[in-house]
Amino acid sequence: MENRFARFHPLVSFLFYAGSVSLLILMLHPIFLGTALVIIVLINFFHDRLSGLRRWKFFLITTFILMIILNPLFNERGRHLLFEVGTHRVTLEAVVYGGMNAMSIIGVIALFVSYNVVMPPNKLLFLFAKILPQFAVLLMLTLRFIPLMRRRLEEISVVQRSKGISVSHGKWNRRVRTGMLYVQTLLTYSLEEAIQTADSMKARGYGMGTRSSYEYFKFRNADVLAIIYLVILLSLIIYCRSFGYGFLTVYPVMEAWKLSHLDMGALTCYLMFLCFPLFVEAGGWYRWRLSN
Amino acid sequence: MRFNRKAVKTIVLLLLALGFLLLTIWFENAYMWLSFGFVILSILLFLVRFESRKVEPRELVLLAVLAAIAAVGRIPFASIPSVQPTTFVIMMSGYVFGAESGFVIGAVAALASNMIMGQGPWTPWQMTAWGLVGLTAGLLRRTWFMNLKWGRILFGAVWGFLFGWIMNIWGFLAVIQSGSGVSLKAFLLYFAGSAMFDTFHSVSNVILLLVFGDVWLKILTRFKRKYGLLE
Repeated sequence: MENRFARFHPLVSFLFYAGSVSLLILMLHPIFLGTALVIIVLINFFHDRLSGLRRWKFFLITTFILMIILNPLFNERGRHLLFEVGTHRVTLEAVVYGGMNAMSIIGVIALFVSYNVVMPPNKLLFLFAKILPQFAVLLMLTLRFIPLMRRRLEEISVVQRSKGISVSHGKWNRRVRTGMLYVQTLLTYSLEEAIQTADSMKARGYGMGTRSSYEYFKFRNADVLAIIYLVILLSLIIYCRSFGYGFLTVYPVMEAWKLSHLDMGALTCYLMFLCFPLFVEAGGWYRWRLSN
Repeated sequence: MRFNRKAVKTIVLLLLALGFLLLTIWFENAYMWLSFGFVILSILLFLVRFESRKVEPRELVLLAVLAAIAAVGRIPFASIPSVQPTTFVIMMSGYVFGAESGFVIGAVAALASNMIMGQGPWTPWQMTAWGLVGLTAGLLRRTWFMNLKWGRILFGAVWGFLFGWIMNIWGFLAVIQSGSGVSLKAFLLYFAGSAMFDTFHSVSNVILLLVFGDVWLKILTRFKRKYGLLE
């Protein structure tokens, strides 16, 4: 299913993901992080019905548990004693600090899951091509060669199998040797073919002047509005953050979790930033309902 | 004009690096995130350098072929655990075609294969690790040491471990990010956890270099001389 957020210009999506990652890193406060995780899960739900997150759930859960356990294990600082195991002190501070960092990291990973849905390689390439044109061509060529080489490997292995040579059975060292011989055949084969590709590129005038490119993504008014919206919110939050709001000091003395007025302000901006894909999705759904 | 733009870009990137260094003073606990910044900046410095040179189409396609082979080379070995020729291919390319090409091949191979398998926080680290394999192979290619077969094999064995350690750094930083600080015990524990995979990687590098090193060098060198590429 195509989602509306993915229809924005790649710059908008990129700004959103870059901004969200930095917010998750900067705003270390249990309330901020907790709401952010809920929102990220919701975004994932709207984009692919959680199928991406489900694939990652084992990794996410183990990372989370490992990080929450590890901090109290290595760190005994803090005033609020929860319990003691032998002579080892387990403090509330250690658990909170470890928990916040664990949430921040799994939040970033969950964001990447949604990033992979919204930003397929061609969008990232589009952004690359603007700043690093030569590198973008190289990357594009490599990406095009990968499926081609897969097909060639398949051809090579079919030919070899007809001679009775195969990687899938036999002794271990024999299999490694055969596998590498395949890759070696692929190398000589592809290098010779590559010269042809290069000469045909040259014959068609590659590198004669500045290269024009096909612009698949157009910058529309909605994109401009979205960028203004995101940039204003982001700068407001970072302004608040630079005065220490939206951040829980744990060491040396843990603050109360209660949010001050300015903390609430920062939280509102934070939610509005992270919810941007949800707003877009909801707006689209609402309009669809109205038009029917 | 061309030169000025390059100088400006380099200065901007170096200033950014300096900015990151200053940030470490304010956020002394954010080692992981700041090290991400440094890794990305250093990759960018290389890319700007690559961008400033006009690369012939033949060279460009050659780099792409080698990067694609490094990425695809994993497929025939899917049934044999921990053996993959990616490091070997990047090393050979760096050795024959020089440090800069080596870095570019390594970085592009990592980025492109992750574009197919999914990006994540590990992408920049993989780009750096494989890029450095190519870079060091290219830098050391004129030394007496690397001209010996055993020297190259030792180089491959060392990189098997170094690669794993570079990839460990981000995981380890993520763990201590949640902790009180760097303790040697935690460090050793974490690195011991990956020791088995690193050993496999190292051993497979040695085997590949032992059996195929000379043939690959011959193929690549012949190709380089035949078409006069990247001399």
